Amino acid sequence: MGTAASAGQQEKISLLKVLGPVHVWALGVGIVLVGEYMGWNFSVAKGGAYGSLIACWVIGLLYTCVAMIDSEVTSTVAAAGGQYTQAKHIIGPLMAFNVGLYLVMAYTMLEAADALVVGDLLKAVAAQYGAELDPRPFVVLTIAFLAWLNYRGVFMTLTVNFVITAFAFIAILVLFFHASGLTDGQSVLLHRELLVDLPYGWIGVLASLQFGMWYYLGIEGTCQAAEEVRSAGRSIPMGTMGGMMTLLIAASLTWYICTGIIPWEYLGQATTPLYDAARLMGSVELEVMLFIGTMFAAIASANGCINDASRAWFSMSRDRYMPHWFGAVHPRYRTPYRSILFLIPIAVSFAFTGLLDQVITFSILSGLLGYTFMSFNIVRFRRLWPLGSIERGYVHPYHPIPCIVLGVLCAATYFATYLGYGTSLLSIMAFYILVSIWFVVRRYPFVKRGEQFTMPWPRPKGY
Amino acid sequence: MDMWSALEYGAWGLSIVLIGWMLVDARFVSTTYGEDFLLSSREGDE
Repeated sequence: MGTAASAGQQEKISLLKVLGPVHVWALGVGIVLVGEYMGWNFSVAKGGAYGSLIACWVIGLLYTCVAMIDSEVTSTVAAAGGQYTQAKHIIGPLMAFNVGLYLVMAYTMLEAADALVVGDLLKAVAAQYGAELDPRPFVVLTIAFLAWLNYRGVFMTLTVNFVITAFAFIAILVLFFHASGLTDGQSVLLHRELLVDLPYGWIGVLASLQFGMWYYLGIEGTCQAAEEVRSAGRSIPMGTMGGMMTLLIAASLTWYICTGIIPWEYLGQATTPLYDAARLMGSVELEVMLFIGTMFAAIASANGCINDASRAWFSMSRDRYMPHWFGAVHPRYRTPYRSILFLIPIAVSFAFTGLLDQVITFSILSGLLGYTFMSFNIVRFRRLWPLGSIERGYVHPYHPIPCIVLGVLCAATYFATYLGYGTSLLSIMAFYILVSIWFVVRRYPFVKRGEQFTMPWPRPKGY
Repeated sequence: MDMWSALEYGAWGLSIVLIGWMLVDARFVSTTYGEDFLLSSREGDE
Protein backbone atom coordinates (compact mmCIF):
# COMPACT_ATOMS: atom_id res chain seq x y z
CA MET A 1 0.00 0.00 0.00
CA GLY A 2 1.37 3.36 -0.99
CA THR A 3 5.06 3.87 -1.42
CA ALA A 4 7.36 1.92 0.79
CA ALA A 5 7.78 3.55 4.16
CA SER A 6 10.87 2.91 6.14
CA ALA A 7 10.92 2.82 9.91
CA GLY A 8 10.43 6.20 11.52
CA GLN A 9 8.99 7.77 8.38
CA GLN A 10 5.33 8.60 7.86
CA GLU A 11 3.64 6.07 5.57
CA LYS A 12 2.86 7.64 2.20
CA ILE A 13 0.58 6.84 -0.69
CA SER A 14 0.86 7.56 -4.37
CA LEU A 15 -0.88 6.91 -7.69
CA LEU A 16 -0.15 3.48 -9.14
CA LYS A 17 2.56 3.20 -11.82
CA VAL A 18 1.10 0.50 -14.06
CA LEU A 19 0.65 2.07 -17.50
CA GLY A 20 2.62 1.51 -20.70
CA PRO A 21 2.76 3.21 -24.13
CA VAL A 22 -0.40 1.39 -25.27
CA HIS A 23 -2.42 2.94 -22.44
CA VAL A 24 -1.02 6.38 -23.24
CA TRP A 25 -2.07 5.86 -26.88
CA ALA A 26 -5.53 4.73 -25.73
CA LEU A 27 -5.89 7.82 -23.54
CA GLY A 28 -4.91 10.30 -26.26
CA VAL A 29 -6.58 8.72 -29.29
CA GLY A 30 -9.57 7.69 -27.16
CA ILE A 31 -10.31 11.30 -26.25
CA VAL A 32 -9.92 12.52 -29.83
CA LEU A 33 -11.35 9.90 -32.17
CA VAL A 34 -14.96 11.01 -31.57
CA GLY A 35 -13.96 14.16 -33.50
CA GLU A 36 -13.52 12.01 -36.62
CA TYR A 37 -16.99 10.54 -36.15
CA MET A 38 -18.63 13.96 -35.76
CA GLY A 39 -17.78 17.64 -35.57
CA TRP A 40 -14.91 17.90 -38.09
CA ASN A 41 -17.44 18.19 -40.91
CA PHE A 42 -18.57 21.65 -39.75
CA SER A 43 -15.28 22.81 -41.28
CA VAL A 44 -16.75 21.70 -44.64
CA ALA A 45 -19.66 24.11 -44.14
CA LYS A 46 -17.18 26.96 -43.55
CA GLY A 47 -14.61 26.30 -46.27
CA GLY A 48 -15.93 23.55 -48.55
CA ALA A 49 -14.38 20.09 -48.93
CA TYR A 50 -10.93 21.34 -49.97
CA GLY A 51 -11.04 23.99 -47.21
CA SER A 52 -11.69 21.20 -44.71
CA LEU A 53 -8.72 19.21 -46.06
CA ILE A 54 -6.46 22.26 -45.71
CA ALA A 55 -7.75 22.74 -42.15
CA CYS A 56 -7.14 19.03 -41.45
CA TRP A 57 -3.48 19.30 -42.40
CA VAL A 58 -2.79 22.82 -41.09
CA ILE A 59 -4.33 21.98 -37.72
CA GLY A 60 -2.55 18.63 -37.94
CA LEU A 61 0.68 20.62 -38.08
CA LEU A 62 -0.44 22.62 -35.01
CA TYR A 63 -1.08 19.42 -33.06
CA THR A 64 2.14 17.79 -34.26
CA CYS A 65 3.97 20.76 -32.72
CA VAL A 66 1.86 20.33 -29.55
CA ALA A 67 2.67 16.60 -29.39
CA MET A 68 6.41 17.15 -29.92
CA ILE A 69 6.70 19.97 -27.38
CA ASP A 70 4.53 18.15 -24.85
CA SER A 71 6.49 14.93 -25.24
CA GLU A 72 9.79 16.64 -24.50
CA VAL A 73 8.62 18.54 -21.42
CA THR A 74 6.50 15.72 -20.01
CA SER A 75 9.31 13.18 -20.42
CA THR A 76 11.08 15.15 -17.66
CA VAL A 77 8.00 15.84 -15.46
CA ALA A 78 6.75 12.50 -14.15
CA ALA A 79 3.76 14.07 -12.41
CA ALA A 80 -0.01 14.09 -12.88
CA GLY A 81 -1.43 17.41 -13.97
CA GLY A 82 0.38 17.54 -17.29
CA GLN A 83 0.57 21.09 -18.60
CA TYR A 84 -0.50 22.44 -15.18
CA THR A 85 2.61 20.93 -13.59
CA GLN A 86 4.76 22.16 -16.46
CA ALA A 87 3.42 25.71 -16.02
CA LYS A 88 4.00 25.61 -12.26
CA HIS A 89 7.66 24.68 -12.63
CA ILE A 90 8.49 26.69 -15.73
CA ILE A 91 6.34 29.86 -15.68
CA GLY A 92 4.78 30.39 -12.24
CA PRO A 93 1.70 29.94 -10.02
CA LEU A 94 -0.79 32.22 -11.82
CA MET A 95 -0.05 30.62 -15.20
CA ALA A 96 -0.29 27.18 -13.55
CA PHE A 97 -3.68 27.99 -12.02
CA ASN A 98 -5.02 29.15 -15.39
CA VAL A 99 -3.62 26.18 -17.29
CA GLY A 100 -5.02 23.78 -14.66
CA LEU A 101 -8.41 25.39 -15.04
CA TYR A 102 -8.22 25.23 -18.87
CA LEU A 103 -7.62 21.49 -18.52
CA VAL A 104 -10.44 20.84 -16.06
CA MET A 105 -12.93 22.93 -18.06
CA ALA A 106 -11.86 21.54 -21.46
CA TYR A 107 -12.09 17.90 -20.39
CA THR A 108 -15.20 18.16 -18.21
CA MET A 109 -17.11 19.98 -20.94
CA LEU A 110 -15.93 17.52 -23.59
CA GLU A 111 -17.02 14.68 -21.30
CA ALA A 112 -20.47 16.28 -20.98
CA ALA A 113 -20.72 16.67 -24.76
CA ASP A 114 -19.70 13.02 -25.29
CA ALA A 115 -22.35 11.84 -22.83
CA LEU A 116 -24.92 13.99 -24.65
CA VAL A 117 -23.92 12.28 -27.91
CA VAL A 118 -24.45 8.82 -26.36
CA GLY A 119 -27.91 9.89 -25.16
CA ASP A 120 -28.81 11.36 -28.55
CA LEU A 121 -27.65 8.23 -30.41
CA LEU A 122 -29.87 6.04 -28.23
CA LYS A 123 -32.75 8.47 -28.75
CA ALA A 124 -32.22 8.16 -32.52
CA VAL A 125 -32.31 4.35 -32.26
CA ALA A 126 -35.59 4.50 -30.32
CA ALA A 127 -37.02 6.92 -32.90
CA GLN A 128 -36.31 4.36 -35.64
CA TYR A 129 -38.64 2.00 -33.78
CA GLY A 130 -41.29 4.72 -33.39
CA ALA A 131 -40.59 5.28 -29.68
CA GLU A 132 -39.71 8.46 -27.84
CA LEU A 133 -36.76 8.04 -25.48
CA ASP A 134 -35.65 10.48 -22.79
CA PRO A 135 -31.84 10.70 -23.27
CA ARG A 136 -31.14 12.14 -19.78
CA PRO A 137 -30.95 8.85 -17.81
CA PHE A 138 -28.48 7.50 -20.37
CA VAL A 139 -26.39 10.67 -20.17
CA VAL A 140 -26.20 10.25 -16.38
CA LEU A 141 -25.54 6.51 -16.69
CA THR A 142 -22.66 7.10 -19.13
CA ILE A 143 -21.00 9.59 -16.78
CA ALA A 144 -21.70 7.47 -13.66
CA PHE A 145 -20.44 4.22 -15.17
CA LEU A 146 -17.25 5.74 -16.55
CA ALA A 147 -16.60 7.60 -13.29
CA TRP A 148 -17.04 4.27 -11.46
CA LEU A 149 -14.56 2.63 -13.82
CA ASN A 150 -12.07 5.48 -13.24
CA TYR A 151 -12.65 5.27 -9.49
CA ARG A 152 -11.77 1.54 -9.48
CA GLY A 153 -8.38 1.87 -11.12
CA VAL A 154 -6.49 3.41 -14.00
CA PHE A 155 -5.24 0.15 -15.54
CA MET A 156 -8.69 -1.28 -16.24
CA THR A 157 -9.98 2.16 -17.30
CA LEU A 158 -7.38 2.62 -20.01
CA THR A 159 -7.39 -1.06 -21.04
CA VAL A 160 -11.11 -0.69 -21.76
CA ASN A 161 -10.31 2.53 -23.61
CA PHE A 162 -7.74 0.73 -25.73
CA VAL A 163 -10.22 -1.96 -26.81
CA ILE A 164 -13.08 0.39 -27.73
CA THR A 165 -10.79 2.99 -29.34
CA ALA A 166 -9.09 0.31 -31.45
CA PHE A 167 -12.54 -0.89 -32.58
CA ALA A 168 -13.56 2.66 -33.55
CA PHE A 169 -10.32 3.14 -35.51
CA ILE A 170 -10.63 -0.23 -37.28
CA ALA A 171 -14.22 0.66 -38.23
CA ILE A 172 -12.86 3.69 -40.15
CA LEU A 173 -10.29 1.47 -41.91
CA VAL A 174 -12.95 -1.10 -42.86
CA LEU A 175 -15.21 1.66 -44.23
CA PHE A 176 -12.29 3.02 -46.25
CA PHE A 177 -11.44 -0.39 -47.75
CA HIS A 178 -15.08 -0.98 -48.74
CA ALA A 179 -15.71 2.55 -50.05
CA SER A 180 -12.55 2.73 -52.13
CA GLY A 181 -13.15 -0.68 -53.70
CA LEU A 182 -10.02 -2.30 -52.30
CA THR A 183 -12.11 -5.31 -51.18
CA ASP A 184 -14.32 -5.93 -54.24
CA GLY A 185 -12.81 -3.67 -56.92
CA GLN A 186 -15.85 -1.37 -57.07
CA SER A 187 -15.26 2.08 -55.64
CA VAL A 188 -18.33 4.07 -54.60
CA LEU A 189 -16.37 7.30 -54.19
CA LEU A 190 -17.35 10.17 -56.48
CA HIS A 191 -14.66 12.76 -55.81
CA ARG A 192 -14.53 13.85 -59.46
CA GLU A 193 -18.24 14.78 -59.35
CA LEU A 194 -18.56 16.02 -55.76
CA LEU A 195 -15.44 18.08 -55.14
CA VAL A 196 -15.79 21.77 -55.98
CA ASP A 197 -13.54 24.82 -55.67
CA LEU A 198 -13.41 26.83 -52.46
CA PRO A 199 -17.05 28.04 -52.13
CA TYR A 200 -16.23 31.00 -49.82
CA GLY A 201 -12.65 31.63 -50.94
CA TRP A 202 -9.66 31.73 -48.60
CA ILE A 203 -11.58 33.50 -45.79
CA GLY A 204 -13.73 30.35 -45.68
CA VAL A 205 -10.60 28.22 -45.36
CA LEU A 206 -9.44 30.42 -42.47
CA ALA A 207 -12.85 30.12 -40.79
CA SER A 208 -12.71 26.33 -41.14
CA LEU A 209 -9.58 26.15 -38.93
CA GLN A 210 -11.74 26.36 -35.80
CA PHE A 211 -13.58 23.14 -36.66
CA GLY A 212 -10.40 21.55 -37.99
CA MET A 213 -9.43 21.26 -34.32
CA TRP A 214 -12.02 18.49 -33.95
CA TYR A 215 -9.74 16.14 -35.85
CA TYR A 216 -7.19 16.21 -33.00
CA LEU A 217 -8.62 18.00 -29.93
CA GLY A 218 -7.41 16.32 -26.74
CA ILE A 219 -4.26 14.43 -27.88
CA GLU A 220 -2.28 16.57 -25.44
CA GLY A 221 -4.17 14.76 -22.65
CA THR A 222 -1.65 11.92 -22.83
CA CYS A 223 0.69 13.73 -20.45
CA GLN A 224 -1.88 13.55 -17.63
CA ALA A 225 -0.80 9.91 -17.30
CA ALA A 226 2.81 10.85 -16.54
CA GLU A 227 2.60 9.92 -12.84
CA GLU A 228 1.00 6.55 -13.57
CA VAL A 229 3.24 5.21 -16.37
CA ARG A 230 6.06 2.82 -15.56
CA SER A 231 8.52 4.94 -17.56
CA ALA A 232 7.48 8.51 -18.38
CA GLY A 233 10.56 9.10 -20.53
CA ARG A 234 9.62 6.18 -22.82
CA SER A 235 5.85 5.79 -22.64
CA ILE A 236 4.70 9.41 -23.01
CA PRO A 237 6.64 10.22 -26.22
CA MET A 238 5.82 6.80 -27.76
CA GLY A 239 2.12 6.95 -26.87
CA THR A 240 1.71 10.61 -27.87
CA MET A 241 3.59 10.50 -31.18
CA GLY A 242 2.02 7.14 -32.06
CA GLY A 243 -1.39 8.63 -31.24
CA MET A 244 -0.72 11.66 -33.43
CA MET A 245 0.23 9.42 -36.37
CA THR A 246 -2.95 7.39 -35.86
CA LEU A 247 -5.04 10.55 -35.86
CA LEU A 248 -3.41 11.97 -39.00
CA ILE A 249 -4.28 8.71 -40.79
CA ALA A 250 -7.82 8.58 -39.34
CA ALA A 251 -8.48 12.25 -40.17
CA SER A 252 -7.27 11.97 -43.78
CA LEU A 253 -9.23 8.74 -44.39
CA THR A 254 -12.37 10.22 -42.82
CA TRP A 255 -12.18 13.27 -45.08
CA TYR A 256 -11.50 11.07 -48.13
CA ILE A 257 -14.44 8.73 -47.48
CA CYS A 258 -17.03 11.35 -46.55
CA THR A 259 -16.24 13.88 -49.30
CA GLY A 260 -16.43 11.10 -51.87
CA ILE A 261 -19.90 9.97 -50.80
CA ILE A 262 -21.75 13.02 -49.40
CA PRO A 263 -22.10 16.37 -51.27
CA TRP A 264 -20.36 19.14 -49.31
CA GLU A 265 -23.60 21.12 -48.75
CA TYR A 266 -25.03 18.15 -46.79
CA LEU A 267 -21.77 17.01 -45.25
CA GLY A 268 -21.30 20.42 -43.63
CA GLN A 269 -24.53 19.97 -41.65
CA ALA A 270 -24.44 16.23 -40.88
CA THR A 271 -24.52 15.13 -37.23
CA THR A 272 -22.76 11.78 -37.72
CA PRO A 273 -20.98 11.94 -41.12
CA LEU A 274 -19.10 8.61 -40.99
CA TYR A 275 -22.25 6.74 -39.96
CA ASP A 276 -24.21 8.55 -42.69
CA ALA A 277 -21.56 7.53 -45.24
CA ALA A 278 -21.93 3.89 -44.14
CA ARG A 279 -25.73 4.11 -44.46
CA LEU A 280 -25.45 5.55 -47.97
CA MET A 281 -23.31 2.57 -49.00
CA GLY A 282 -26.33 0.32 -48.37
CA SER A 283 -24.53 -2.32 -46.29
CA VAL A 284 -26.26 -3.28 -43.04
CA GLU A 285 -23.02 -4.73 -41.63
CA LEU A 286 -21.14 -1.48 -42.26
CA GLU A 287 -24.03 0.55 -40.85
CA VAL A 288 -24.02 -1.47 -37.62
CA MET A 289 -20.22 -1.36 -37.37
CA LEU A 290 -20.09 2.42 -37.80
CA PHE A 291 -22.96 2.93 -35.33
CA ILE A 292 -21.04 0.92 -32.73
CA GLY A 293 -17.88 2.79 -33.71
CA THR A 294 -19.61 6.13 -33.14
CA MET A 295 -20.92 4.99 -29.77
CA PHE A 296 -17.54 3.56 -28.70
CA ALA A 297 -15.71 6.70 -29.83
CA ALA A 298 -17.99 8.91 -27.70
CA ILE A 299 -17.66 6.59 -24.68
CA ALA A 300 -13.85 6.36 -25.03
CA SER A 301 -13.64 10.13 -25.22
CA ALA A 302 -15.75 10.63 -22.09
CA ASN A 303 -13.70 7.96 -20.30
CA GLY A 304 -10.39 9.64 -21.14
CA CYS A 305 -11.79 13.05 -20.22
CA ILE A 306 -12.78 11.83 -16.74
CA ASN A 307 -9.25 10.47 -16.30
CA ASP A 308 -7.61 13.73 -17.37
CA ALA A 309 -9.95 16.23 -15.67
CA SER A 310 -9.65 14.35 -12.37
CA ARG A 311 -5.82 14.26 -12.57
CA ALA A 312 -5.66 17.99 -13.28
CA TRP A 313 -8.05 18.77 -10.39
CA PHE A 314 -6.16 16.36 -8.12
CA SER A 315 -2.80 17.99 -8.91
CA MET A 316 -4.12 21.49 -8.29
CA SER A 317 -5.64 20.35 -4.99
CA ARG A 318 -2.45 18.55 -3.94
CA ASP A 319 -0.68 21.92 -4.25
CA ARG A 320 -3.62 23.67 -2.48
CA TYR A 321 -4.52 25.70 -5.57
CA MET A 322 -7.93 24.15 -4.89
CA PRO A 323 -9.13 22.76 -1.52
CA HIS A 324 -6.52 20.27 -0.29
CA TRP A 325 -9.24 17.71 0.54
CA PHE A 326 -9.53 16.81 -3.17
CA GLY A 327 -5.87 15.77 -3.28
CA ALA A 328 -6.56 12.38 -1.64
CA VAL A 329 -5.52 9.04 -3.16
CA HIS A 330 -7.67 5.93 -2.66
CA PRO A 331 -5.68 3.47 -0.51
CA ARG A 332 -6.90 0.40 -2.42
CA TYR A 333 -7.47 1.56 -6.00
CA ARG A 334 -4.75 4.24 -5.91
CA THR A 335 -6.86 6.74 -7.87
CA PRO A 336 -7.72 10.41 -7.11
CA TYR A 337 -11.16 9.26 -5.97
CA ARG A 338 -12.44 12.49 -4.42
CA SER A 339 -11.62 14.47 -7.57
CA ILE A 340 -13.39 11.85 -9.71
CA LEU A 341 -16.48 12.02 -7.48
CA PHE A 342 -16.51 15.82 -7.32
CA LEU A 343 -16.49 16.23 -11.12
CA ILE A 344 -19.54 13.94 -11.66
CA PRO A 345 -22.20 16.57 -10.79
CA ILE A 346 -20.24 19.23 -12.70
CA ALA A 347 -20.25 17.11 -15.88
CA VAL A 348 -23.92 16.18 -15.44
CA SER A 349 -24.81 19.88 -14.98
CA PHE A 350 -23.01 20.84 -18.21
CA ALA A 351 -24.72 17.96 -20.03
CA PHE A 352 -28.19 18.88 -18.76
CA THR A 353 -27.91 22.37 -20.21
CA GLY A 354 -28.25 20.59 -23.58
CA LEU A 355 -26.19 23.38 -25.18
CA LEU A 356 -23.85 21.10 -27.12
CA ASP A 357 -22.55 23.95 -29.34
CA GLN A 358 -21.61 26.27 -26.48
CA VAL A 359 -20.20 23.48 -24.33
CA ILE A 360 -17.94 22.31 -27.17
CA THR A 361 -16.89 25.87 -28.07
CA PHE A 362 -15.90 26.54 -24.46
CA SER A 363 -13.96 23.27 -24.45
CA ILE A 364 -12.15 24.10 -27.73
CA LEU A 365 -11.25 27.61 -26.57
CA SER A 366 -9.87 26.30 -23.28
CA GLY A 367 -7.75 23.85 -25.26
CA LEU A 368 -6.53 26.62 -27.57
CA LEU A 369 -5.47 28.74 -24.61
CA GLY A 370 -3.47 25.76 -23.39
CA TYR A 371 -1.69 25.35 -26.75
CA THR A 372 -0.80 29.04 -26.78
CA PHE A 373 0.80 28.56 -23.36
CA MET A 374 2.89 25.65 -24.72
CA SER A 375 4.45 27.81 -27.44
CA PHE A 376 6.23 30.10 -24.96
CA ASN A 377 6.53 27.47 -22.23
CA ILE A 378 9.01 25.43 -24.29
CA VAL A 379 11.16 28.51 -24.99
CA ARG A 380 11.48 29.18 -21.28
CA PHE A 381 12.02 25.48 -20.53
CA ARG A 382 14.94 25.27 -22.96
CA ARG A 383 16.38 28.50 -21.53
CA LEU A 384 16.12 27.45 -17.86
CA TRP A 385 17.06 23.80 -18.41
CA PRO A 386 19.21 23.64 -21.58
CA LEU A 387 19.90 20.31 -23.29
CA GLY A 388 22.18 18.23 -21.11
CA SER A 389 21.16 19.90 -17.84
CA ILE A 390 18.23 17.54 -17.21
CA GLU A 391 17.50 14.00 -18.41
CA ARG A 392 15.02 14.09 -21.28
CA GLY A 393 13.24 10.98 -22.62
CA TYR A 394 12.67 12.82 -25.91
CA VAL A 395 14.15 15.94 -27.52
CA HIS A 396 11.97 17.57 -30.16
CA PRO A 397 13.85 18.58 -33.34
CA TYR A 398 14.33 21.97 -35.04
CA HIS A 399 13.70 24.11 -31.94
CA PRO A 400 12.48 26.93 -32.07
CA ILE A 401 10.63 26.33 -35.37
CA PRO A 402 7.84 24.14 -33.84
CA CYS A 403 7.03 26.71 -31.14
CA ILE A 404 6.96 29.58 -33.67
CA VAL A 405 4.69 27.56 -35.98
CA LEU A 406 2.48 26.69 -33.01
CA GLY A 407 2.18 30.34 -31.94
CA VAL A 408 1.31 31.51 -35.47
CA LEU A 409 -1.28 28.76 -36.01
CA CYS A 410 -2.87 29.45 -32.60
CA ALA A 411 -3.22 33.14 -33.59
CA ALA A 412 -4.86 32.15 -36.90
CA THR A 413 -7.26 29.82 -35.06
CA TYR A 414 -8.20 32.57 -32.56
CA PHE A 415 -9.09 34.77 -35.53
CA ALA A 416 -11.11 31.93 -37.08
CA THR A 417 -12.95 31.44 -33.80
CA TYR A 418 -13.59 35.16 -33.54
CA LEU A 419 -15.26 35.06 -36.98
CA GLY A 420 -17.77 32.42 -35.84
CA TYR A 421 -17.96 32.66 -32.06
CA GLY A 422 -16.68 36.15 -31.16
CA THR A 423 -18.97 36.53 -28.14
CA SER A 424 -17.95 33.13 -26.74
CA LEU A 425 -14.27 34.00 -27.22
CA LEU A 426 -14.62 37.29 -25.33
CA SER A 427 -16.78 35.66 -22.61
CA ILE A 428 -14.24 32.94 -21.93
CA MET A 429 -11.40 35.49 -21.80
CA ALA A 430 -13.41 37.52 -19.26
CA PHE A 431 -14.09 34.35 -17.25
CA TYR A 432 -10.41 33.46 -16.98
CA ILE A 433 -9.43 37.04 -16.07
CA LEU A 434 -12.02 37.07 -13.25
CA VAL A 435 -10.93 33.69 -11.81
CA SER A 436 -7.29 34.82 -12.04
CA ILE A 437 -8.14 37.83 -9.85
CA TRP A 438 -9.92 35.49 -7.41
CA PHE A 439 -6.87 33.20 -7.32
CA VAL A 440 -4.40 36.00 -6.62
CA VAL A 441 -6.55 37.76 -4.01
CA ARG A 442 -8.31 34.88 -2.23
CA ARG A 443 -6.73 31.52 -3.01
CA TYR A 444 -2.97 31.91 -3.31
CA PRO A 445 -2.53 32.83 0.39
CA PHE A 446 -3.56 29.19 1.19
CA VAL A 447 -0.80 27.73 -1.00
CA LYS A 448 2.24 26.45 0.89
CA ARG A 449 4.79 27.79 -1.55
CA GLY A 450 7.73 25.52 -0.71
CA GLU A 451 5.64 22.31 -0.66
CA GLN A 452 4.46 22.59 -4.26
CA PHE A 453 7.95 21.96 -5.69
CA THR A 454 8.96 18.44 -4.67
CA MET A 455 10.20 17.29 -8.10
CA PRO A 456 13.89 16.27 -7.91
CA TRP A 457 14.92 18.68 -10.69
CA PRO A 458 18.31 20.41 -10.91
CA ARG A 459 18.41 24.13 -10.14
CA PRO A 460 17.43 26.17 -13.25
CA LYS A 461 20.11 28.06 -15.14
CA GLY A 462 20.60 31.55 -13.70
CA TYR A 463 19.03 30.77 -10.28
CA MET B 1 -44.80 0.14 -19.24
CA ASP B 2 -43.06 -0.44 -22.58
CA MET B 3 -39.47 -1.60 -23.10
CA TRP B 4 -38.12 1.93 -23.64
CA SER B 5 -39.63 3.24 -20.40
CA ALA B 6 -38.17 0.22 -18.58
CA LEU B 7 -34.75 1.04 -20.05
CA GLU B 8 -35.05 4.64 -18.85
CA TYR B 9 -35.91 3.54 -15.30
CA GLY B 10 -33.14 0.94 -15.45
CA ALA B 11 -30.60 3.60 -16.45
CA TRP B 12 -31.71 5.89 -13.61
CA GLY B 13 -31.54 2.97 -11.16
CA LEU B 14 -28.10 1.79 -12.26
CA SER B 15 -26.75 5.35 -12.13
CA ILE B 16 -27.98 5.72 -8.55
CA VAL B 17 -26.42 2.37 -7.57
CA LEU B 18 -23.03 3.26 -9.10
CA ILE B 19 -22.87 6.77 -7.64
CA GLY B 20 -24.18 5.47 -4.30
CA TRP B 21 -21.49 2.76 -4.24
CA MET B 22 -18.76 5.33 -4.80
CA LEU B 23 -20.13 7.64 -2.10
CA VAL B 24 -20.39 4.81 0.43
CA ASP B 25 -16.88 3.60 -0.41
CA ALA B 26 -15.46 7.13 -0.15
CA ARG B 27 -17.11 7.55 3.26
CA PHE B 28 -15.72 4.17 4.37
CA VAL B 29 -12.20 5.15 3.27
CA SER B 30 -12.42 8.49 5.08
CA THR B 31 -13.48 6.83 8.33
CA THR B 32 -10.94 3.98 8.07
CA TYR B 33 -7.79 5.91 7.12
CA GLY B 34 -6.31 9.11 8.47
CA GLU B 35 -6.39 12.28 6.37
CA ASP B 36 -2.62 12.70 6.64
CA PHE B 37 -2.16 9.33 4.95
CA LEU B 38 -4.79 9.90 2.24
CA LEU B 39 -3.28 13.31 1.44
CA SER B 40 0.37 12.20 1.60
CA SER B 41 0.93 11.93 -2.17
CA ARG B 42 3.61 14.26 -3.57
CA GLU B 43 4.64 14.89 -7.17
CA GLY B 44 7.87 13.17 -8.12
CA ASP B 45 7.42 10.41 -5.50
CA GLU B 46 8.61 7.00 -6.71
